[in-house]
Amino acid sequence: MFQAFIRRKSRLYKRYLGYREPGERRVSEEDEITALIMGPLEYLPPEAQVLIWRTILEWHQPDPPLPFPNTSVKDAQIRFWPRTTIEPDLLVELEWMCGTRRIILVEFKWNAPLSGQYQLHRQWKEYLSKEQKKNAIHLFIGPETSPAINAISESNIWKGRLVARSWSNIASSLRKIKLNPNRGLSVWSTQVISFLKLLNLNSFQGFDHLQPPSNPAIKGNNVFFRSAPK
Amino acid sequence: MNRNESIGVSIGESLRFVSSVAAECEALLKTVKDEVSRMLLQADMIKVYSAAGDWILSYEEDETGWISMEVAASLALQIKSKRLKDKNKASGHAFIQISLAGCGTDALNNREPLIYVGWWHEPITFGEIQMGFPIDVSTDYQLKLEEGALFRWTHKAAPDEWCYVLRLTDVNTLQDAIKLIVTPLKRLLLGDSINDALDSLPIVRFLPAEGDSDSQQFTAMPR
Repeated sequence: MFQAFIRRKSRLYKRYLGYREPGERRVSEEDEITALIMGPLEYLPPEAQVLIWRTILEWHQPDPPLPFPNTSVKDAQIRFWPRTTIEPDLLVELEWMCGTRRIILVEFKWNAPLSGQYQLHRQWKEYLSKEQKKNAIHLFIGPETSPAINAISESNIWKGRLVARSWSNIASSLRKIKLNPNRGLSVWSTQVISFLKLLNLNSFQGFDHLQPPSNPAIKGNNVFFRSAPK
Repeated sequence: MNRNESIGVSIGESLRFVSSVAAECEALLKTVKDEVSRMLLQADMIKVYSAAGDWILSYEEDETGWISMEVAASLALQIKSKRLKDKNKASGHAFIQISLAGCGTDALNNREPLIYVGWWHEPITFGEIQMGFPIDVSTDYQLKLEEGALFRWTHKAAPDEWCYVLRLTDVNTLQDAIKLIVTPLKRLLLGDSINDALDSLPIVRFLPAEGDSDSQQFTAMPR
């Protein structure tokens, strides 16, 4: 679907900007976005998956919680909407040849608030066992990071293990891997960046690259849109 | 190219340019919101401040409603302890206001878009509350320009408010946003001196100009 959106063959992505078809009531934006962006990871080799999560977690963070080892990757598994008493959006389990394991519990948000004030607290407390928590990171990805920051302000049960990233952060961080020699990884990251740009979630590029209008039509004190005196 | 054609080309190019500027302003706001939120998790900040709500966004359009002239994002912060150097500080809003045109850019000798970074009690809403020139003054609040760099409002019965000013086009990377906006904001929130927080940064410096009992104008110093 990325290809159809990016080449403007489909305008279905507008639903993620709030547009609705006549008669359409409920749109599962979050679940669709989750599957659209993260679904292709299931087709990538474990090394590529680990590099993606490493890039997101370590982006612009000199001291990430539970850093990943630099040894060979043994396995990477992802499960969508795993359910117990509570249902996070994604469970990522990574394993290295050296025996290190990491679990990433991911909550995605799009245009909706958290499901209750304590949704993140409940996920961390109820979904993971005490043993799992030793190797776990809780990752929040949303339009902005303040819901996660507010959750920490409310009660900091994570002790540094709740990592908050905005979708713009994701676009910025994936720029690091879009030229990776792994073809699948570079195609996926390039497509995600382009897709997020369609949804006005591009990363900040600054003002110094902008091309001012080259053809000022009217000289003197008149400015654009003001008709010249006759 | 005849004159009408030239105007047509200019309209098209100018609108595309404005659209590109808008995209970068939005991206800069998102970047600042994210980085300020992350800053609040740093050990020295988390002891003192906590977020007390979501970011409040506000836009000021031109008379036609076609173009946003100014945009601001404000975040309510709760002070958790009294370990600040100034014990009278109360909760308020950290804010960033981007003024592309309009009264937010009307300091004397200024022709560029400006960014305001500050700490006020109320969020920026553009109805009545925004930074702009000349600055309204009242007998309740005393306005001071400190070191030519920081506007500070003091009140007998209330804690102080402050803001400093940047030129928009001096912020071009994530690192610029952190160095010029997020870090000085943090240092000033923690009570550092103006020299410690702002010295050596390319902020806009001002000189007082004409004023009366209702308003005070300022002149922006050249780069």
